[in-house]
Amino acid sequence: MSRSPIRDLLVGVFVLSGLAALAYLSIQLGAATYSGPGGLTLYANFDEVGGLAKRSPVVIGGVRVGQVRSIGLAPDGSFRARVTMDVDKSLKLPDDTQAAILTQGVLGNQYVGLSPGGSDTLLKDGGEIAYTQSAVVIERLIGKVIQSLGGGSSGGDTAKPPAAGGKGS
Amino acid sequence: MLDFVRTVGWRSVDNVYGLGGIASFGSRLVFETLAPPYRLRRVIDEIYNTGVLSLAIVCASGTAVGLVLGLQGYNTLVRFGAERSMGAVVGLSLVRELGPVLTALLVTGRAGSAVAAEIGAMVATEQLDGLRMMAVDPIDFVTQPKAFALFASMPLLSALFIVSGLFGGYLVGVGLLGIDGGTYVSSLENNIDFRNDVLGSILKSAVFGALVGLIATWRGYTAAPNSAGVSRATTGAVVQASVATLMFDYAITALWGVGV
Amino acid sequence: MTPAGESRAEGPPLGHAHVEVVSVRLAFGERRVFDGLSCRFSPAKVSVILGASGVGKSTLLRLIGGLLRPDYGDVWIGEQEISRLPERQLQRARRRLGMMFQGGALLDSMTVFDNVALPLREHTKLREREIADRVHAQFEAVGLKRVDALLPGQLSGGMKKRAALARAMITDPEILLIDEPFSGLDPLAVRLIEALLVGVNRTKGLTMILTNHHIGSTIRMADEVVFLVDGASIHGTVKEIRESIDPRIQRFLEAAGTGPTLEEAS
Repeated sequence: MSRSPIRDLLVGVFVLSGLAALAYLSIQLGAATYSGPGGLTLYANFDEVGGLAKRSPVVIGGVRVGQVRSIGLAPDGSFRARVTMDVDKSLKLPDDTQAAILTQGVLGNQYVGLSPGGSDTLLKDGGEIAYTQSAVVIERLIGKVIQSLGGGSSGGDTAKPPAAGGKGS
Repeated sequence: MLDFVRTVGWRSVDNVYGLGGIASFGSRLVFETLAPPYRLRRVIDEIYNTGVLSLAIVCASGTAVGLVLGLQGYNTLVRFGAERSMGAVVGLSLVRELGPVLTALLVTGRAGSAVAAEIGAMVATEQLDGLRMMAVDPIDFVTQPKAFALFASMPLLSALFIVSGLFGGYLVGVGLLGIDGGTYVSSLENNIDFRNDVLGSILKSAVFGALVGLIATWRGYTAAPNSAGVSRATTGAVVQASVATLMFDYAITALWGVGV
Repeated sequence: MTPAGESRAEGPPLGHAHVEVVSVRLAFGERRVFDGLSCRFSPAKVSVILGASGVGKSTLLRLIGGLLRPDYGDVWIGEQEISRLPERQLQRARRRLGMMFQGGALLDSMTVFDNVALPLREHTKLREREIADRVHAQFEAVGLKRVDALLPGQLSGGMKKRAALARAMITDPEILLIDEPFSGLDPLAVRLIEALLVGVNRTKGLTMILTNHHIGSTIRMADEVVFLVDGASIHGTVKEIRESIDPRIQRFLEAAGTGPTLEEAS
């Protein structure tokens, strides 16, 4: 027997609003980081992915078209990083499209920016993007700057340790 | 010296008994929750007592925390020119930690103490014995609905706390500090991940709910049958549940992994 | 069935007792409450457990109800020994009992109607209409009017006891255990409750076991008296107890008879 229909109503309202809040958090904020269509899988190898992560956006001209599905080591033994992307399958991307890892602002999140090329052949599902530009790692950039300020010899190749023995400050 | 050793020994054995006691009590609660009769009427009444009556304090506190987070967050972020990320800062703090933990502490203080006091008073006035003599199990009839209500209400209240907090952050950011509303919301949406953040948050609040449900009902059930006993049970319940919440918070955070 | 005139102070139990406690020992920590206590309660009789405060009257009642387990000894309800039963079977054994607690022990979050209806709702599959009929019949039997929607907190002491009795009786138990039915009542209320209890015993033939420290009503009501002292019991009819030469009993009766706090002694 119902002691108070008002109580039951309030409990119902409480439970519903709680579930709605949970749903909002889960769907709107959480999973729907990319709520658009996908279906086209693309691969790209990079020397350096920096801070790129799963679910990082894939962007063309500033418009989000997909997300990063996974990141791992390339299976061909080259010790490069292989990024798997899931993009809108209605896109017609030429096979000379370039993929670059860029940063939002200076301290922002990293994302993959695609610059479509002009080729007549299109990338198919499971296709490979051949032209890639790795992420910029701040430390190496700073290292380069210090080198060019201090030495002036090898500009750009971060692998060589600065032979700045005698070349002064 | 020997006396001291004896006391330590006694206390340890006592504590082990206590742990065993609460463990078997806990398993009874789980069993009674899963097994019929389900006593829907009483569960609904108890959800009213724990959930509905805690709504006001949870939403008010949530908004207040969101306001403060927004303000503090802004002050720090603006130094790096990163005000854009305010939504993320407020959102992640609330979802990952402040939502589940603060909600649990609030609910412990409000509803947990009430449950412990009620059950303790029932012990003192022989109401539980009365039930036993009518061949009704007090754990099934009295404690289980209360414990389950605490457990079930917690994730819901935590979500409402978080949403209130997000709203508070929005108020301060957009209303007071001039951040663009769209930036706030998109920063929120882009940086909160379901698997890492939201799911962990829900798990935490469910665990905290179970802890409060277990501890509050246990302290009430084992209270000494007099007014001093009831008061000790009530304060003990709040303290123990709060400490347990904080300890489990660390454990879950560490095990679940933070971020990527 | 043992004739009422026979007195069995100690010795091996014989005849058919409805409830029997055999050689029970019970201690709370350091304090020994019962040290080899044995007593019998005959069927359909009103038995009163009498004794000074703190001697263990309520404890004995709780032992019979299975709310306490003795450290040693047996508790028999009819043919069943209950002190070592697991909780589930104990619950089943309790169906034969009804208990009236000192403060009523009604659930204070439920109305009086819901309280009295509880045993029926829990253990029978009766429909609400049938339950309502029975509850109202019980109210009438115990003399309660218009209490359905009240909460126990709104009842007077006497009304609480009546409600507790109604609840204890609604499942038609064989044995009624009553803890201090007269505590906190004025002399008029005492007489009323007394009449009620005796009436129930006569009309339904229930075995009733009461604890009481109130001499007057004991003398009026009891068919048998179990006097508790020094961890053991002395058993007899009212007449036998009054004429007992045991100094402890004499002292108790004297104090009751001449004390300013106790009312009528006859």
